[in-house]
Amino acid sequence: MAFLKLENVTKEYKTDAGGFLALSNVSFELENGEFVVILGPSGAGKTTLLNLLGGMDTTTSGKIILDGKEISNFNEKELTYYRRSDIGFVFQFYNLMPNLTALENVELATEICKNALSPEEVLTSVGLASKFKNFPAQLSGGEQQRVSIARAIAKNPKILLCDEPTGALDYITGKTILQLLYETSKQQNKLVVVVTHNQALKEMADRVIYIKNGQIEKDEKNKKPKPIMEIEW
Amino acid sequence: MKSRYFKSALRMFRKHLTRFLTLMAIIIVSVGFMSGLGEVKGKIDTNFNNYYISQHVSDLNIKSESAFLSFSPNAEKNKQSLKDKFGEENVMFAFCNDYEIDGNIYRVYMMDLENITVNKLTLVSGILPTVDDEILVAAGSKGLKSFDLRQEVTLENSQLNMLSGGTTFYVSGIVQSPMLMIKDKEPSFIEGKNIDYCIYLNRPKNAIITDAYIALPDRALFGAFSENYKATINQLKEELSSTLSVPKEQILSLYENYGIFSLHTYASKVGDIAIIFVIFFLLVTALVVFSTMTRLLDEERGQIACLKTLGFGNFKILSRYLLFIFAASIFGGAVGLPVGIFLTYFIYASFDTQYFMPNFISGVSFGYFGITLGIILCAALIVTFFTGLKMVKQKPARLLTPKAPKAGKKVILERIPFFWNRLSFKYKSCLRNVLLFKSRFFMTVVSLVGSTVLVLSGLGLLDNTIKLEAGAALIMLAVALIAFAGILSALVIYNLANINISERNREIATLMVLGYNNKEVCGYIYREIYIMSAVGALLGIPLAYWFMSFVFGFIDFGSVGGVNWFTWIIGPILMMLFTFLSTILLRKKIVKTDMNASLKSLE
Repeated sequence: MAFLKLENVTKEYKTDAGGFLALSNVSFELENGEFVVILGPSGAGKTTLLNLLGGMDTTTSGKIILDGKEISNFNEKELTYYRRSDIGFVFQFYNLMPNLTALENVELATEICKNALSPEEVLTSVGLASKFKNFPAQLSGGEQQRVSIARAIAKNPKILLCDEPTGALDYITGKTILQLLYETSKQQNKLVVVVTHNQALKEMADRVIYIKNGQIEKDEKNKKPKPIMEIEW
Repeated sequence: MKSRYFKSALRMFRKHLTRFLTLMAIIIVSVGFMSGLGEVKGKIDTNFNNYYISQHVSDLNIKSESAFLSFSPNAEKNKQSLKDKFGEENVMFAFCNDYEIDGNIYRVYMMDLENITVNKLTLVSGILPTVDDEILVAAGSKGLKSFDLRQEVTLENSQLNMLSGGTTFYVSGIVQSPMLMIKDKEPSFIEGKNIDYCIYLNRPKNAIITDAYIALPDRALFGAFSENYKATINQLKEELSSTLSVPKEQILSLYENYGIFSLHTYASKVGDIAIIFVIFFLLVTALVVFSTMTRLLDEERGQIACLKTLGFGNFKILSRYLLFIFAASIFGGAVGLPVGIFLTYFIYASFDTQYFMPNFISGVSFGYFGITLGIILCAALIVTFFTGLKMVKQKPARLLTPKAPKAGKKVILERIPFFWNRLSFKYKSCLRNVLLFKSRFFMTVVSLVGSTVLVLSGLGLLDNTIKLEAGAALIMLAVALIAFAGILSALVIYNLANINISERNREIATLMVLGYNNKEVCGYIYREIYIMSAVGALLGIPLAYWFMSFVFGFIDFGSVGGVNWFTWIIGPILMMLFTFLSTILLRKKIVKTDMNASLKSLE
């Protein structure tokens, strides 16, 4: 059985103008340690998919099964617990608490997790050993995103979900962040899902899922992923 | 076609509906209280003035123990000279004396009851006497006893019986006299005793006259004990005593009428209290409106930037925010007016337990209402205009970039490692936030201090009034103050907490994505609100102490020492209770936060 399995996932939003099908019959299977890129233009349903995987919203029909547990059946309380213990979320705009230091921002996540890793060690591993006591305003964008990644990793989740993690960063910094995410998936054998509209990222992924108009357009495996530093965009 | 700009303005209203309604409610309570309390003194003065005119209340009462009005060869001449001086219809002669019969003190009037021109009686029930053994009796009250209609009354007193021509009387009517306005005990002429009954005998041709009641021909002069009136009365007293040969002490004025003058004194106290609290309410309300509007504009930064880039003019952009506060003020004022009218009536009616109050003449006086609403409206429009102007005058490019989040930094408490290191990050974050956003902290704390002072003052006034057995009117006033200050405080706290939650929408969404459960997210936001409330409530205690010393001194009534010790605790506890209630009510707002807000860019 696959680590993460989506079976005919459909999400319909009710609007004043009637129903709107954001996702229809989406199915795929992902494995532990995979680095997956979900590609699609804006409005394709990426955010909806991310919301469903991240336990931030519920499906209209279909199943999502992670590590043998059917999360599409979860009630609100179970979803909160799922977000807390199984999901590490990396935001496009970092979403750090401005009034907490780098270390404290990581502690913000680990404090409520049972199997959390040491915040100091994780921050060191993302290269911020000297910035523990810095507030977000005293960090560059890339450094802030590293704190955000450290916050996600330190929870020791089952999946890392990343929403346009390089969207707010410059080219070089973006690459180092992707490198960091890639290494995390390989070294810690974690499933990392990156949602983006940047076509260039498909070359570095083990798996690329193309999404368009709420449907899976293509789902391909990349036998020889290119090292991120060799990719240009 | 409906203007799209108008449509977008309407949506802005809808987005900030809670804030709009809270602001409106604050203005209702504030304007209602201010106009209601403010108008009480004016209402009493006006109604008493009308009563003074309609009953032709006497301004002077010459009590002649000497033979000035009877038994003297000059008596008729003296009486005629009074009539000549003041006018026939403004002078009334009567016999008035107090008798102790079977342990009760009777005030007995004998006069021409059919032709009372001065101090007109109001017939509550029954009819005027038609035969000599019929009498009128003053209506009973707390301090005064009375008889039933048609009751047989036997009064045995040789002097009285000689004058009245009998011992047995029948009550033909029950009356109310302007001379007996107070419902408490009224002192009699017999040393140390109060009047128990007051009866009126119809003796048109009574030979013995003890009293002359004089009403000033110029009825407009009175003006609820105006300064002019006081001077005239004093002057007349001098004049009468010198030309007419009556000792000055035997000329009584309304200032010596305990009932009427104490009503005036109480009304003035209410007026004094009103002025102080109206000013204080006004300050708190203005501050709340000010901080609400500045924070609203901050949140609207993105909208304003968008409108600017589209080429809308500064004033057009500002107009929607001016309309927002204008509408909240006008609607609030419209509802506040009847609230105020009711409050005026309520306090006026509470005077009724102590006084035979003239009928409440309904009708609206706009004085306090207009002034207080006007000030609030002006302050709100000016604040909104200038804060908004500062914002719209920026270059659109600058407005489009989100306002950089305030940089986190170490706060002073971190210099105490012993204390700081023991805190969990939740408290660290909370304390940093509280101390970092100084203006937010300041506004919240000052609003809370103001509310605490108001509630504590109400409670303190109540303590004193109860201890000093003051009139029901003052007690009611204290109760009204507590109620209105309490509601205002609750609204102020709710408003601030609501704004706090809106401003931190993104933080809340992020915490939810990180897996914080509802209780933890609420705790994260509420901790700060509780800390700010507690600081405000605690600082309110010394300030209330100082304020109350001032108030009690100003109204010349009660003292800070007369405030129960537990009142000082109840006040702040009440504030925390309001905070707690507000946070319970606002829980839904936090819990319903859309987690997608964490994915969006800063706006």
